[in-house]
Amino acid sequence: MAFIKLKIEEPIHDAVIVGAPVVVNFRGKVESLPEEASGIALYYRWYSSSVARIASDNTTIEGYSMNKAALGVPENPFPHALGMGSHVITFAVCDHPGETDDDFTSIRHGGVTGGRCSGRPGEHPCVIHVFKANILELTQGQVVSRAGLKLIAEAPSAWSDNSYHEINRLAYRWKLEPVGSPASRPEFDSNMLAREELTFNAELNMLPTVSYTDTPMLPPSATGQYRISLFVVDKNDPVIGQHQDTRTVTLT
Amino acid sequence: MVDAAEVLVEGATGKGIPVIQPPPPAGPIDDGTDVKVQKSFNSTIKANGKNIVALGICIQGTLPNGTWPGMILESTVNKTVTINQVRINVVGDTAITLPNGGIVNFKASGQAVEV
Repeated sequence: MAFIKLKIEEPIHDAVIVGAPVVVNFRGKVESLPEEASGIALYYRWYSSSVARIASDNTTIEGYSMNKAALGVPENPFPHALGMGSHVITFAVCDHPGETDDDFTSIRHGGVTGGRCSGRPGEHPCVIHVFKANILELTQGQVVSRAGLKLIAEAPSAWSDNSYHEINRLAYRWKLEPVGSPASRPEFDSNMLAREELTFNAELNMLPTVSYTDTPMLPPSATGQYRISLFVVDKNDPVIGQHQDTRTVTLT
Repeated sequence: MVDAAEVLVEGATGKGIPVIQPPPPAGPIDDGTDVKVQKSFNSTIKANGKNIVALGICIQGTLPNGTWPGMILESTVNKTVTINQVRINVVGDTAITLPNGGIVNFKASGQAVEV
């Protein structure tokens, strides 16, 4: 039996990526290979907290890792698309190529790195953040009443999970600005919204969404052309991870 | 014992964080957070008749069967006692549940005799 020490070369922990879905290259290396394991075929797998290979019946697990077939060379980039949100990345190696129970219980040489940060010494977490602003249910040029205005955006699929919010770095901000004259019409800025100010919704075959619960109370003078902007920003540093989407609508 | 820490054996238990797969609107297949060591890489040295854990595979979910595999990390508590140059794992060591990258803390050695 042997402990194989791994390192994630790419993506780096805390990486920020703007725009989604985005193809991320996953690349690792073996930092130390005990003599006992040299000459033995080794198989590498990448895992993301947002990806599992589950059949369309939603109950059958077809696999756990992002790569369906185990990889033979960790240094070769493995490209995989990730959706918006914060993702925990884990990289593992073992001496069996499959993901069945028998494969797992037959492993005698292996190693793992990445995962969440627990604050313990010697760990090497890997959590990355994909930012995307996507306004839903509002189209460019739409005429919409102030009272009927709904601010809805695409959300990470795990948004409703409390443990997701331990790693989440995405935050939402909505702005409404008058376009054209009169320029003195009222503006609205939600600033960075807390999780409690957003309502999550997920329906079959639809993008998961968050809606801004307290739709802005716009005064009667807020009519005419308005630019509605959504910013999905990094909670820790809004400048780094900002992605924007915009619609121009007519408010009545 | 290694120093003051009890040695883990197969069946040692810990806690992880829930695996939310598939995500909403489908309910998770198994969001249980209980974890047990399923198989040690060591299959020769025993304590109380059970294989001592020196790295290995754990399983998270609704026990006894569980659903989500994980791998035990090299011991950070015990830095001296090894089997075949692999550090023996003890209470306080950790694992990673592979599908969600959650850190598992082992708080019970599994050495207690089952009745």
